[in-house]
Amino acid sequence: MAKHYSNGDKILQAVLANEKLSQWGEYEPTGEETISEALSSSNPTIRAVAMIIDGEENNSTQKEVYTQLTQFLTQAL
Amino acid sequence: MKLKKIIIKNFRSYYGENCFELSDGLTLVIGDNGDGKTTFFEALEWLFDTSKENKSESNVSEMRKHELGIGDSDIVSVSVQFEHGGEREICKSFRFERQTNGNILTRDFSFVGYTQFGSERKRVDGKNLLEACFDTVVRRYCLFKGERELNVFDNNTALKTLVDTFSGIKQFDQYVENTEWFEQESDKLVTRELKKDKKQEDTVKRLEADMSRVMRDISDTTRDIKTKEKAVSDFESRIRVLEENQDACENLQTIKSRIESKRTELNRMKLYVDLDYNALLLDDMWILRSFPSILQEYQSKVSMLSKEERRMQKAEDERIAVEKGKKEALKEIQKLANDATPLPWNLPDKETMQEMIDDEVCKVCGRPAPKGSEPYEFMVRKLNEYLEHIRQESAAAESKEMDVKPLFENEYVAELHTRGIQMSGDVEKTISKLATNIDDRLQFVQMRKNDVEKISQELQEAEDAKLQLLIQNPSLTEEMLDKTFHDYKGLSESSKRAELDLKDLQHKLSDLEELKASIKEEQNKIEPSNGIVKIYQRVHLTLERIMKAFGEARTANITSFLNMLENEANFYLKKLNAGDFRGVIRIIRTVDGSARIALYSSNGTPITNPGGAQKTTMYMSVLFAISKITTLKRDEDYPLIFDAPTSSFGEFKEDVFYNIIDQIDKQCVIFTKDLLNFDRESGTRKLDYSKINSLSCTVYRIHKQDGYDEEDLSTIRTITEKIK
Repeated sequence: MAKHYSNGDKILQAVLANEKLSQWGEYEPTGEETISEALSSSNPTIRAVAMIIDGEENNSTQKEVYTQLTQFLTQAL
Repeated sequence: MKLKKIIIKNFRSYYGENCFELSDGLTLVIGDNGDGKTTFFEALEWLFDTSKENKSESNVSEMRKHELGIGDSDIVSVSVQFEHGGEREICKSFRFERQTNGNILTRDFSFVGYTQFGSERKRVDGKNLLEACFDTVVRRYCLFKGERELNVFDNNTALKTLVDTFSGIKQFDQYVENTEWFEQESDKLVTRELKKDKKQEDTVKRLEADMSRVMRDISDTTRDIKTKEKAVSDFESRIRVLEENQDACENLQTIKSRIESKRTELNRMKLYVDLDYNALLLDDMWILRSFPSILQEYQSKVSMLSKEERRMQKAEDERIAVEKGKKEALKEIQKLANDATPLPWNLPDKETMQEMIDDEVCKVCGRPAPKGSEPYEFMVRKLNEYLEHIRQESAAAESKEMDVKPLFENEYVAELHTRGIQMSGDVEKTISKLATNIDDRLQFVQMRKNDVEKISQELQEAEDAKLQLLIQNPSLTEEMLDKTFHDYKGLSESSKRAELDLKDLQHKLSDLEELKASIKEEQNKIEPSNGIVKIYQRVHLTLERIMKAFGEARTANITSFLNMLENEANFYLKKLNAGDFRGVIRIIRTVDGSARIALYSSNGTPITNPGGAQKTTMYMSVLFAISKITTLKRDEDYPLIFDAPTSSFGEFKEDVFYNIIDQIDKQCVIFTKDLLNFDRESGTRKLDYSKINSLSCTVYRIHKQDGYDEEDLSTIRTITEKIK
């Protein structure tokens, strides 16, 4: 049975498929990524993209998402 | 979602319960104007309207209302049974009741749904069930009233709505906006931190100044581009409108030019035709136009009279000759037997003779002459001869008088003959010439009159053509079409100039973006002394790349959707126009972020003004494509419901269209007045069974019940009949 992807999952897959981003973030896009899996990814770029989508889906403000994102990336990079 | 059955009860002209069972493919509901097609469609719209509790009395059947007595009530309801992961039904209804004051009260609005679980039928909220199975956005692309509603790209937000609804990825715009903001914030932080680094301070400040200048230029250029894009878009829209009306403009100009030329010609011809006949009759002697024929008739009559006169004279001469002969013969008869000389006729006289007869005695010889004797008879005969002589003498005297009077005392006929001779010859020649000239002139005038009639007719035809043209373009006035014709050239040139300016600005922006990128690169290359700033710098770079990835993903998503839509639309366009020129559908993104559907020739030439049927099939193809994409994206099929989508189709196109729709694997309900033929005998439109029987679809005929009063709404009832 085909796996059901949410709108967020599809956005995540579309963004992670970007060649330049994958080169920068040093990851291999699979086209099957999900938000829940990406949020616990060891790759900071994958996780950052997932955090942006997740923040919006959870109705967080731009500022809140930005703060979480920069905090995470500052530590992860 | 497959519609199975629609039941309409007491909704406007649908009196009582009316049931329609729909096929999985095409269902045609055929009815003439006013038979209830749009009411059926509006009944569905009412059922699918989740925005309000509409229990308006205007939706109640007037016929049913009219029947209700005080305190009586009935219900209006529309329900749809359908398959959507099992059997489902939604039903909207309200009750109407006649009150004691005669008014109608509506109450008890209800919108319920039913779902079937095995053998159990469960009642649920109708609105929720409808939204779960057939949500508002999908409905927007499933129900279409008339041809005008078929264009789904009819407003600026249409593309975004379509992409959000059917591309499978929604709300990309918000993510792109967020990531742009993150990048800017991060950039500000890095710049601020770098400025604190004494070693890099100057470089950072210079780059910041450069960046500030470039950003200002980019901002200005972007603003200019937006303005120019708006101008180009406006020009494009106006030119598109002009191009759409270009044929009408050119036709109008041609017709107007023809009207002007016909008017001039008509006026010129009228000058030849408008003659002062009174003056011509007397001053120019037109009165003598018929002289030659009159003279001929005159001469003929004189000749006839002369002939008659001579005939009569001859008869008279013969009569006189006969009379003379008679007299001579009488004289011969009166001679005596012994050839003696008779006494004069007057001896003895009348009185003497009478006396002797009376006395029965011959007083000449003295012998008796009794009655009956020979002497007596002799005397009687002698008296009679006497009397006869007197009579003859008298008659002869009269005859003699007549002989003297000639049969024709005057010489009238001769005079008439002489007059005829006088009128002929030179006079006749001169007047004949005049008559010929008049005839020529009259013939010329008659020809010009024929010309005037012909030109007047042509002028009328041109005027009618002009009127027809304006009727066909109800949104355009003659002045607008005239203005369009004159504006087109100017607009076209302005548009080209604006496009060139826009290209220049886009090049300038591109250069500025490159400059910005190089400054950014230079900024990114700055080696901060502080380790944390290095991390900030890396965070910024990551966010910058994420921002770009979101932007590119959004563009790719739209492009992919439009390509898919185009491909699917062209698949249906090919089907709907089988055997006919169809062109290729292109969905073109406009500068304002929306899109428009256009038809192109396969060699890339735009078809600027497609015909009505071409446009309709083009829009319907896009609708079928959207429907197919919806099916793919949602794993669910939805019906398409059209009210009168083929108004602009010709008969041939209709036949092809229905045959093709009949074969497409898609549930469609079409309300139409096609497939009806006018029956001269009954003066009504009847179903064209030869065409209907060639279709495999379900067909319903709806029509007004006979005997309705044209002015009384309560007599109108739509009768539904399943044909096949």
